[in-house]
Amino acid sequence: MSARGHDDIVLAVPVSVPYERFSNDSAAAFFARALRGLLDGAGISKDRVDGMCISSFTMAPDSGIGLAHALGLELGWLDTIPLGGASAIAAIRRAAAAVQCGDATIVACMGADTNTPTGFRENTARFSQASQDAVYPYGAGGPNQSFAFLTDHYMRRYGASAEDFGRLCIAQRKNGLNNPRAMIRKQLTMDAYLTARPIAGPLRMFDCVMPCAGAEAFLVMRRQEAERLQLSYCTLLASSERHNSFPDDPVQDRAGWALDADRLFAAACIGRSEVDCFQTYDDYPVISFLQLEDFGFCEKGAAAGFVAAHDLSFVGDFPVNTGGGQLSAGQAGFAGGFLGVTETLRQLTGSAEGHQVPGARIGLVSGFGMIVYDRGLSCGAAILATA
Amino acid sequence: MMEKIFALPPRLRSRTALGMTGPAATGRFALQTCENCSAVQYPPQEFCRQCLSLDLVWRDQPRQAEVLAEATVHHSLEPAFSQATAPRTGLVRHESGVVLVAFLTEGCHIGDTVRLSYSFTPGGSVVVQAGPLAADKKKASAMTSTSHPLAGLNCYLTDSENPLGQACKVALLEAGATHVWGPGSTDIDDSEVELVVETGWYADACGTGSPGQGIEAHLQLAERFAPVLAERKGTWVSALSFAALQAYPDQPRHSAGMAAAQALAISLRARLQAQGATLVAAYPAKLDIKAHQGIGGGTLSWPSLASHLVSALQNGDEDVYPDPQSRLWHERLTQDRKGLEREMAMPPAG
Repeated sequence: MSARGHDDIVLAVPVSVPYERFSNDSAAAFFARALRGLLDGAGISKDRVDGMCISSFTMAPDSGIGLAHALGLELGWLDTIPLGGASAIAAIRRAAAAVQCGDATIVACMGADTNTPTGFRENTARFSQASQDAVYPYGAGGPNQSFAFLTDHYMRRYGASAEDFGRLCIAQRKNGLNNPRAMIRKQLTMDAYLTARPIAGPLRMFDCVMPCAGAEAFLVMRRQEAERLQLSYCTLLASSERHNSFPDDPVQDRAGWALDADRLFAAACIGRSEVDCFQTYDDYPVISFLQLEDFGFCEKGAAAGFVAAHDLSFVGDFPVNTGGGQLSAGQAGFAGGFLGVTETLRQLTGSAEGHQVPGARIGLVSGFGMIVYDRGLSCGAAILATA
Repeated sequence: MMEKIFALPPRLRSRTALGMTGPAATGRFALQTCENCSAVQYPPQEFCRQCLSLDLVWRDQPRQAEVLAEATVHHSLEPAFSQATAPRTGLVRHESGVVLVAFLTEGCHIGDTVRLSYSFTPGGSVVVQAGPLAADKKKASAMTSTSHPLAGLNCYLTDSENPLGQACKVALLEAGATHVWGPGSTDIDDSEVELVVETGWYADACGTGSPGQGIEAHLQLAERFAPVLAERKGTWVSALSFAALQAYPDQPRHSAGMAAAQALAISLRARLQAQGATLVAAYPAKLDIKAHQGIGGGTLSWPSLASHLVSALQNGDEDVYPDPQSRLWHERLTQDRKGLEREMAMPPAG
C-alpha cells in the first residue's frame, strides 16, 4: 500500500535560501546555505545531524556522498532522491522511515539547485534518454512543450479555457504579493495573463515557472527530539507516493494521487474538508487542476468551476499555494518540490509572515515530477498537522 | 543586418535511437518490435518494456496515427528552432498504441488521422513527421527540410555528356531545376551550385582511368564544391554501384574503385552533415557498363537510375537502392553479410 500513516514523526525548521534568477554559485553552495539555515534554526551543531536526504538537478558529477564530504557531515544514513518535483515528498517518507526504524535521529532534507543562462538548456537536453531521443529534437521547448501537450489535451477534453487557468495564476500571485520570499511580486491581471508572450501551445508566459537558483530544506525527527530542542514542529499524519501510474492513458490527465487520495486521508484520520491549506505542485496550472480533481476536491474535469467558485487566497475559503507557489516564487530546480513543504510548515507553525492562513491546523502538500517522455511519472503527497 | 549564425538542431541520440537512421535512409517507417512478445515500443530502448526481452528488431509499421494534442513551440531552448515560423509539434498515437512526439505538417490537426514518416534534420539526425494521409511528402517545418525543393535548383553534373549525365539533366530539368551545368558549361557560377551529381565512378569501369585517379578526381571535386554546398545547405549525389558495399568478386578493379568511392562518400557526408548539407548515395546492382555484364538479372537503364535519384532527392532519402536486386542484396547485407559474400562468389546457377 502506497499511502501510510506515521508514528510520532515530525518536521521542523523550514529553511528557504533566497532565490536568484541566475547564480555563479554551484548547487553545493546552495546546499551549504540551506544546511547553515537548518543548524541555526534548530540551534544545533553539525554533529547532531546524522541523516541527510538531498535532491538536485545540477550537482553532477556529485551525489549525496560527495556533498556529505563537502559539507563535512559524518552520517549514519544518506539518500539522494532524483525524482524531480516529487523528491520532497519522497524525502519526507524516506527520512520518516529512517527515523522510525532508528537509522537516524535528525535528518536534514534539502533540495537545492543553481541556474546559469546556459545551464537549463544543457540539463534539459539530457534530462532523460527518452526526452533526449524523442522530445527534445522536436523544437526543444523543454518542459513547457510537454506540459503544453497536457494542457491542450485537458482544455479540449474538459472544455477548460485560458481564463480558467488564469484565475488560478492570478489567485496565486495575490498570495505571492504578501510573501516576502516570492521572487515575482508584480500584480497579475487577467488581461496581462491572456496577452502575455506565447511560450508553447496554449501556454503563455504566466503559465510557466521561472527557472532559478535557490534551496529549500527542513528537518525530520521524532517528536521527543523536537521537544528536547524546543522547536516548533508539525506532525506527519500520512504520506503517499506513486510512480508510473496509468501508463495506458494516451495523454496524461490524472496522476497517481487519484489512486491514493482516499487511503491518504484515511491514514491521516481526517476528511478532505478538514484541510486548511493545500500546496499543490504548481509547475503549470493544469497540474494544479489535476490535483484538485485527483484528491477529490472536485470531479474530474471540474477544476475550472471549483477554482471559480472558491477564494484561493490565504484568507479565502480554500487556500491554495498560500505563498504564491512556484509560479510566483520561481522554480529552483528540484527545490521546487520542497517549496510546498516549507510553506506548509510555516503555515502550521504560525510563522507565515504576511500571508498566514488564520488558524491553519492541517496542511496537504503534493509533489509531481519527472516528465521523462510524455507524462510526469512520479507523484506523492503528505498531510501535516500542527503540534 | 547581422547575419544569423547557422545552428544545427539537437543531434544527441542514444545508440538505440540511432536505429531509426537505417529505415529513414531509405524512406521506410519502422518501429522497435519485440521478437519475444510482439510488442511495439517507442521511444526506442534496449529491451522490451512488456516482457524485458532484449530481442528487439526494427520492423516496418503501418504509418497511420491520430493526433492527440498539439503544441507550437514559440520559445525554444535551441537557436536552431528560432526561425520565423515556430515549429508545430504534436503527440500522436500510432496504430500500435505507442505515443510519439512528432512534427506536424501544415493542415494536420488534433483528431486527424495522419501519416508518419522519418526524415532527416540538418546534421543527419532522424525525426518523426506527421503529414496528411495521402500526401506528397510535404515538409513539416523548415528545420526538417534537408534538401531544397528541386524547383529553382542550380545543379552541377560531373559527366553531363554521358548517358547517365544526359538522363540526369532531363530528369532534373523536368523536376524544375533552373541550371544543370557540366564541365563544359561556360555560364557556370560555382558559388551558386546547390546540387552536385557525381557520376564519374562509372568512367573507369568503362576503361578509362584508374581507381587512384578516381580518388584524386573526387577529392578535387569535393574541395571545389563542399564549401558552397555547406554554405547553401545543398546536396551531393554519389552515383555508385552495389559493389561499393559488397565486392563483385569477378570485378576486382570495379569493386575496389567503388569501395574507395563509398569510403569517400561516407567521409564527405559526415563533413557536409556537420554543416547542414547532405549526401545521397545510390547503389544499383547492374548498370549498362562492362563491369556489370556478368551480373545476373535485369539492367537498370540510365533514365531509370536518374529518375530514382531525383525521387530520392524529393523524398529526402539518403541511400538509394533503385532496383529489386539491389534491394534484396541490401536486405541480405544487413542480415548476413558473410553469407552474401559467399553467395556472390558462386557462379550463377545453370
